[in-house]
Amino acid sequence: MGSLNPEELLFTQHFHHLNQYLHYRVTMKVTALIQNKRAVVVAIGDDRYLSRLRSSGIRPGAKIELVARTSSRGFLVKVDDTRLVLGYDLAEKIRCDYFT
Amino acid sequence: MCSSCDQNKHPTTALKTPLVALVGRPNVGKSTLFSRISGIHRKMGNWPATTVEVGSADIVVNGEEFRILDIPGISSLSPASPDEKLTHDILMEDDLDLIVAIVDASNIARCLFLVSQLKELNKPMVVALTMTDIARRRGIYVDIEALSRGLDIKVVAVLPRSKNGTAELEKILTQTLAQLKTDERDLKESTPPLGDDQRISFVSDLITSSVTRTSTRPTLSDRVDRFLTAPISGALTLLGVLWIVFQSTTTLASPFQNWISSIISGVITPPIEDVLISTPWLKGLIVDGVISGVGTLLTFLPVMSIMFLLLSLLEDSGYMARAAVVSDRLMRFAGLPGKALLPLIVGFGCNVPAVSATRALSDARHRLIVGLSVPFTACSARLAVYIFVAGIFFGGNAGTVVFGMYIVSITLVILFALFLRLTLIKGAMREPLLIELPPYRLPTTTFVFADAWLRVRGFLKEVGGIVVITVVAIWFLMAVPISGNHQFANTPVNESAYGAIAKGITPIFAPTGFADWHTAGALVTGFVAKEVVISSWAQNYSVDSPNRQLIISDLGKKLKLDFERSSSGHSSAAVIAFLIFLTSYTPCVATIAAQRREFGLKWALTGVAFQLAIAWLLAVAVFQIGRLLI
Repeated sequence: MGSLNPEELLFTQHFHHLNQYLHYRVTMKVTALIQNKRAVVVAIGDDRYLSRLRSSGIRPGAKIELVARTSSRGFLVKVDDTRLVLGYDLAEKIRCDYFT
Repeated sequence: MCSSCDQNKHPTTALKTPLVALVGRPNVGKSTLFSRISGIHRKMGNWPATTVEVGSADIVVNGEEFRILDIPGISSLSPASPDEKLTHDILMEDDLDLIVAIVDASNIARCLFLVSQLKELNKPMVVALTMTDIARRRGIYVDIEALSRGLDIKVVAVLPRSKNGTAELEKILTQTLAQLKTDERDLKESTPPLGDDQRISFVSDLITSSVTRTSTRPTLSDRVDRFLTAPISGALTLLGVLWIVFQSTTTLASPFQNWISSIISGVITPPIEDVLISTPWLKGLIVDGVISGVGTLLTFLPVMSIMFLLLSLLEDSGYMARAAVVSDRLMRFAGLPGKALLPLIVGFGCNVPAVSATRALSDARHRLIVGLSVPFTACSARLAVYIFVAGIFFGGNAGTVVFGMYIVSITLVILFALFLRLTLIKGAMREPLLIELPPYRLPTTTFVFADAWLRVRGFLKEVGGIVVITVVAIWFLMAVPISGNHQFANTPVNESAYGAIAKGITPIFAPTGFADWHTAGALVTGFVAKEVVISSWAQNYSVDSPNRQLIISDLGKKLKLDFERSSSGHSSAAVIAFLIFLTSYTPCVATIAAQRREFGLKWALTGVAFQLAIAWLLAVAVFQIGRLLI
């Protein structure tokens, strides 16, 4: 495969960022998930919660499903095989996407 | 099988018997497995972080002696709270010979994540796969052979609650330990640590090769959880559950209480009285002191047993974590995370372990706030006094009054925590809500009874130890004449040293409506332990027989008269003020000691000062307002 000329490279890079941007835009927060429909965690929007969420099994690639909204503005989700209740502030930091 | 058990000391300093540690994520069944292997029952519950201290037992299996450690659960090798730090430190010690990694089959991905980290410690390891029954119900099947191959570690399926597989696990443990002796740590080349992404893909591959799933969605658990954690139905269920617990405790226990009191008064007391008739002072000590004081308390054994049994049932079922979700908003109001509810629930049994249970909280300020608020949770010792007093003054409505005291207790905890957060302990971080819901389990009779017995034994130990000592001390103070012309052990109570002390304190209670020296004296001795309030009353009213019928009609009558007199006819307001004082003032010396150990003397004493001030102010307010209304 030959190397790209500067215009092509610029276009590709631009397209890559655009693609990422669009992907981020079309993904949804846990707060917007449809109940009982399984999704995949795509990204975690805030580094402060990364390790806490990871130790609870929430990491990019994990399967996530909204079971119910709970009291205290919480979200009861199933992540892989675990049931967790996440507060609104955490739930809106987790970006998910449905299987295509 | 077990030759010794030491729950609190650091275990690795004794003779060099091989050390085996049970390691796993919180709530995977470490303590249950420990109990099965060692035969020693530890406090267990179906919620994360029930164990905050190390338990150890020396056991001999198939001629192989080793020491097994039950250590707090850990989510990863980066500790987030003091209990996890303890586990982390033990894992890092050279003395540790063998790790038994407990993997919950129903939550296998996250457990294997930890196992992959444990592998990197380069210590011999065996995996115990638990909760395969729950996994199967959820449609998760684990191929043990494939998992063992993928991990390159021996894997044994074990169901400690029903004892399935424990023998095989013991066999593998002894084989591995025997092998270690001869092979001098026959370890393969050290495993290089994996990066996060590599670890995720390692675990994913392992799961793909060894776990099969059949879809069973949405499960019954989902539907139940939806109901139990929803805003209105969840809160109503929680209140209903608590009401049922206290109502059934008071009504179910009554016939058993009568039975015990008739045994003490009809069978035990008369022959002792006959034997001691020639030595009046000894008769006074044994019959009027020990039997009267301790006997009265023993009639509360059925109350305690039923309460503990119901609490154990709730804990074992998995409901408590759902209760934590429902009460998260209340906790958040006080600036505490929902997780803080768990130590507080422990506090309703006994405040002493509740103070230690705060170690599961990651923020030091949260630990301090919860630890200082724990004494406002109405422990089971206070329950005995509630039932006693409410039975005398409120008859048929006793159950509702007791339930009301628990609502008062919860309100006090929340308001005091809020007060601390806004004044003395500022800057506690707001933690986002993140609670793991353990799977529902059908409580096992053996474990519910064993757990309840553990707590009943604690109550009996207290009655047999500190209560007897206090009763004897009170008897001694009552025997010493202070005024009048009396002899030792032949003094009217109100002219004894005890009477003088109690009378000296009484004026403090003048605005609370219960300024009577009998009650003041009982409250002072209640500082030692709350149950003592009842035995003190029994002693200082000189009730000779601990028969409950007699107490209700005799001691009860005397108490009623004194409350009526000290409150100038507003005895109901005075009794409620008394119950609120009892709920708020320092629970017992053991709790102060626990607070001193966890937070230092300064904070422990600050807590005591606040408790006393709040108790007095509330009692005054309740009586002064109450007497205008009632």
